[in-house]
Amino acid sequence: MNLLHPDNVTFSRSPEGELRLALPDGTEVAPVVCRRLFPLTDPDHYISVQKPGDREQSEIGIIRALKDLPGEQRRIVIDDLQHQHFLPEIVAIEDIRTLHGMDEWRVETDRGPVSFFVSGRKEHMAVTASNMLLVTDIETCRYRISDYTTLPPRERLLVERVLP
Amino acid sequence: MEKATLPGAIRDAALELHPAESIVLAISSDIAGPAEYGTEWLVVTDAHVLVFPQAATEPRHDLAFADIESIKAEGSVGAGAVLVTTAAGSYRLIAYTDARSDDFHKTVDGIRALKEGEGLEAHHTTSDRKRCEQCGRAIPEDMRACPYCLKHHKALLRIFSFSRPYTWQILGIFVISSLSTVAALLVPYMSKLFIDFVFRADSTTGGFPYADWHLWCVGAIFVAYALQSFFAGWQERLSGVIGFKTVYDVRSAIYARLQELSLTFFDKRHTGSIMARVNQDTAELQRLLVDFIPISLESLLSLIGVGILLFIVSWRLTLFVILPIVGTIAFLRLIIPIIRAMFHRYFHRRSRLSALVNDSLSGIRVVKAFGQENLEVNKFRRTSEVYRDSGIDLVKRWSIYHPFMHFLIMLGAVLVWLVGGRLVFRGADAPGGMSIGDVVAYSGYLMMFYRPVFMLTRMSQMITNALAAAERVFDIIDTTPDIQDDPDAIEMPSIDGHIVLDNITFGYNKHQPVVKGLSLDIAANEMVGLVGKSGAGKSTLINLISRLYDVDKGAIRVDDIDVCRIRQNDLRQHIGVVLQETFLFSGTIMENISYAKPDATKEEVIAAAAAAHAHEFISRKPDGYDTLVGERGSHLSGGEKQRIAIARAILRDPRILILDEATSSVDVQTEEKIQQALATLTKGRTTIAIAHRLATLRNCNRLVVIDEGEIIETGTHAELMQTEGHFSKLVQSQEALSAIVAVEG
Repeated sequence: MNLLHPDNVTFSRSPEGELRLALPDGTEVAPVVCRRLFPLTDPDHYISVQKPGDREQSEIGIIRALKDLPGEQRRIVIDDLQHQHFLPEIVAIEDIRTLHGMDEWRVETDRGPVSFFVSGRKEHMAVTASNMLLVTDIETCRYRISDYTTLPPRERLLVERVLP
Repeated sequence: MEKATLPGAIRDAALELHPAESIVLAISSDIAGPAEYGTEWLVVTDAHVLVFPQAATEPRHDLAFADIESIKAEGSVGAGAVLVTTAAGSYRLIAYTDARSDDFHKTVDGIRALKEGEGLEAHHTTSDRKRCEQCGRAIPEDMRACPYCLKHHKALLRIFSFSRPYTWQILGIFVISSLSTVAALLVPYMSKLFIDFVFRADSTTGGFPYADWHLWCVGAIFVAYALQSFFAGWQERLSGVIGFKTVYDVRSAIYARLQELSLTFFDKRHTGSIMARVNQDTAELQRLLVDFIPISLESLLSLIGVGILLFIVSWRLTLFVILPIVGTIAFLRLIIPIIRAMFHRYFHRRSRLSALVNDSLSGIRVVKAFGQENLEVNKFRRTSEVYRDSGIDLVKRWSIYHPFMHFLIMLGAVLVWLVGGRLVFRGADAPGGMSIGDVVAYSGYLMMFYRPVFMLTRMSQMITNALAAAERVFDIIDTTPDIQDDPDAIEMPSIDGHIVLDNITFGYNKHQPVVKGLSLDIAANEMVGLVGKSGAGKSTLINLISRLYDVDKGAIRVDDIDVCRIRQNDLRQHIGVVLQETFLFSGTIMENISYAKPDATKEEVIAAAAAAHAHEFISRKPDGYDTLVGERGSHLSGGEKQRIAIARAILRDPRILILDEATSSVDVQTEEKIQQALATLTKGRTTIAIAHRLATLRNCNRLVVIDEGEIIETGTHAELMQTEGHFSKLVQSQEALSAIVAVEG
């Protein structure tokens, strides 16, 4: 595992938005993309920095903790990560209505408010051992609730009514 | 794509920046700024690509086509972005969620076409995204019509249209139900007769003047109960029979349609969701027709009957009694969602527990090997705990609601004695007064009144569920297969087997062709090997020749006739397939071989098995050809399954043979047997083989190397090895790999 030490490397972004990484030996790699290795269970640690290729990406190295990066660099890396892994976390549920075999969810997420439809709960809702709920809507977009049992009682009831 | 809905301000801003140009493409995204929901616009003019944040007149990006080195739509997790490479580097222009991915791919294809100076084509500007024309909602991937805008009563009427053959029986049910209700209504009335008439003592003599009526009245009650039970039983039987018959018809219709549908239908859907339609949705219809409609019918009839009687006996009292009913219904409406959620939680937990048990017991070898028994026990205990707790929660709630509801209902009975009692004191003959018999009969009717009321509160829920199920079922029944026979399709009782692929293009997604303008001429009885990396398009070619899919461009001709014009049945009759994954149906070996030709005699099957070198191992099995192969042939080894599949193809005796060769390694002797079997099979047929084995490659008259949907090399094995091109590299790497496998093995 090739760990990148935050003191030795520097992330930067061009005015147009290209993400670049300066390596300890002074070379600069551009563009680079960042990917979380544990996007669901540990989003703030183990960030793989990769160089995109035509067929497959090659990894440059791994950042162990986002918090080790200095402020501005952390911001641009997080921005890239948010684009690379778009899985909105549902933070509040306004309503879940069931109509004609589909559930209409109206929710607030960490990426803003959204409403979506779920059809076929058995295939499109998954619950993990740690009570994380992953929902896939009819347009194949995914949403998650890290632990649905910690929702306020009203919202929890709404969710439990539609669990598979 | 969305040129029409582009905000005027953005349109004006774009045209102001590039006055000499016009807008050719516009598409809105659903992600803005730091990867949050929002809208941005990608606007394409004759020579520029611009990106505007929503409600902005200053573009975030403004690129001339000439400056763009490359542009692509690239997906990541849950979202994607249009990536552009210019002299300034490579960066994101605009981001979108997966919902918009297809449209952005098309738009980017369109930009590329414009940049190359080609014109836009229809598929660049029309969205595949299925949205309802009426309400604008997205339509679920596996449905054709918007579930919101369907005419719901239509689905219900259609279920009943399946019941049409049973019209008379249904009328009969109605009559019988009415008779049963009338009989039930008689009973409380008889109790009134007893009290007010039979048991009334003469105040002067102390005797019972109507005592001889006693037996008659008892008899009447007896008959009323007997009739009611008889009619109820008869009705249940009739409606059950009709329900099962109707659902049988629906299920047959859906299954017949499923078998008819093209593979494209199955590609787009999970097998699970299709199975759910056949099994669960029809079961839901069955519940509706067999259980629910008869009960509701009965409830409705007795509700009307009893309601009328309640009013006749005493309308004053009825006004009071309705109060607790209203209260109960209100209470029910309040608690039903809660109770439902709790039951749901309980069932969900239960299924999680059983999934856990299933998982850990089927992996018990791994558990033991890693010595993690304790971990599994703890996992089970934790899951079991929450299951237990949800059960306890449920019982606790229920133990409050249930008695409370019961109490509310009984409040009606209390009211009868309170209000009714006062009316009795007025005297039976006074206006509005009641006799004791009236009050008793009234109590009886009241009890009969509650059940249908509660039944009907559940009705709307049941009907909604059943309607949703009905709609999903009819959605399949109404789907027309993509591949259909022409009305004047050509019959081909026999063919030579000369196949021409004429400049064919095909993609499972229209904007991602898998086969690109490929041409190939295969002479009758020639054996052609298709070689290439996985994903190169070999299997797709085979699917196209069997016409499991239709080509997008170009044509495939068999004996100089376009396959689209040949009757599908005739075409498939002449094509035999040995697939990479040999699929055996559960059943016997005999059944599996004769699947290719159901009317084959035993001699034919044995001969085919012998030719496939399968007879030896079959005859050694204790049950011979009657050996059960298990689910998907699990009782047989890989080599045995393959030879059965080959026997199946030999029995079919097709003119065109398609071999999708297995890569899985079998031992050397089995390999030899399979090769011998294949040699018998391919003799004198046009054969197209997806070849991996060296032996097969050498046997081919010609090898065709395919990469990225195009032919890059053709020739015999020896020729290709000499040219030291793509093929020889492929063979070398394979040999290296098999050397490694040999060392490791």
